[in-house]
Amino acid sequence: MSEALIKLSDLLAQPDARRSFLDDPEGTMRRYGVDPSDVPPALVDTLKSLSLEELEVISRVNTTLRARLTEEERRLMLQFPV
Amino acid sequence: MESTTEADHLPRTRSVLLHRKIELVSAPFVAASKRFTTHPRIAHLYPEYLITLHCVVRSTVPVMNAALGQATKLADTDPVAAGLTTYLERHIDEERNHDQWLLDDLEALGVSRSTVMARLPSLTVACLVGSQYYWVLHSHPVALLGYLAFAEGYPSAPTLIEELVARTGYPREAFRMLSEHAELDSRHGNELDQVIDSLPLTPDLEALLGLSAISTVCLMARCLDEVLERGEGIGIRHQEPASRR
Repeated sequence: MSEALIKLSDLLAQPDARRSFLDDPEGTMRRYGVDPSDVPPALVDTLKSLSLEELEVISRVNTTLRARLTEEERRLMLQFPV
Repeated sequence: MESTTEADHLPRTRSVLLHRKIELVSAPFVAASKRFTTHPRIAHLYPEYLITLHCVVRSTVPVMNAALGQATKLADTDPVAAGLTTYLERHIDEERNHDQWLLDDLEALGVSRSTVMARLPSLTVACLVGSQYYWVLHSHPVALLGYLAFAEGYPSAPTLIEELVARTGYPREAFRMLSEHAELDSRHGNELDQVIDSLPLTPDLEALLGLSAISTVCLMARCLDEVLERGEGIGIRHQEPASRR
């Protein structure tokens, strides 16, 4: 996991930072020491689309945030069909 | 840095955005899938996976019926609920008896129906399904589409199923659930995306859909992790299936 993604996860773990991120994603990232150009643009784009409630859930799942799945990852996924 | 893919250039419809939210938290699910499919004791894990799946799948039609009931109550004054009723009425029929497919798959492995039905569903399974009941009954039935978007939107690759058949040594009759869904859910996933894009979702309902989908990915990853833990020694001991190839 890149340093930028670790810092981004730390940022999203803080309630004030999450609220600030909703209003000004790039500015908040810079204030918390994350250079937006070090984060995959597709990931930033998705995070910008989230509501505060969704950001809260994501901050609790304790996972490496990522952008798109690659074809190889799709091929590895064991479906959990319902 | 991840490279740009074709998916990056898709129009930003609601369904595209929902899949991006799903993929944002998909790393644990991919990791659990890989650990499962490459596990040296895959033959012990596969029946555990089917049993856990059965705990979830036996609730699919009931939870969809609950969503249909709520949507029908709201439909006169709620255009999203009205749009849901048509989809759910059709989809409930398509999902009927899939729990029986699982019991048949397990029977082909020598696991009796009574063994499956005697298994206590885990807290994770209860959270996975129970959260859907809560959102459906106490928030809005559209939440269920978030659950289905992940469950139906990422069917197993046929090559993966072939690998499982080869690595477990089990007969193909034990893979009906996965094989049928690999085929059916390519279509079901597309239909669901069209429904999501057709609904006049408010920002709050779109967030609810996202919450439901994100939670589903995380809880299904945990279900797979639990299958791995049980298969690694703390769960039931299966009799050696009589029908190994």
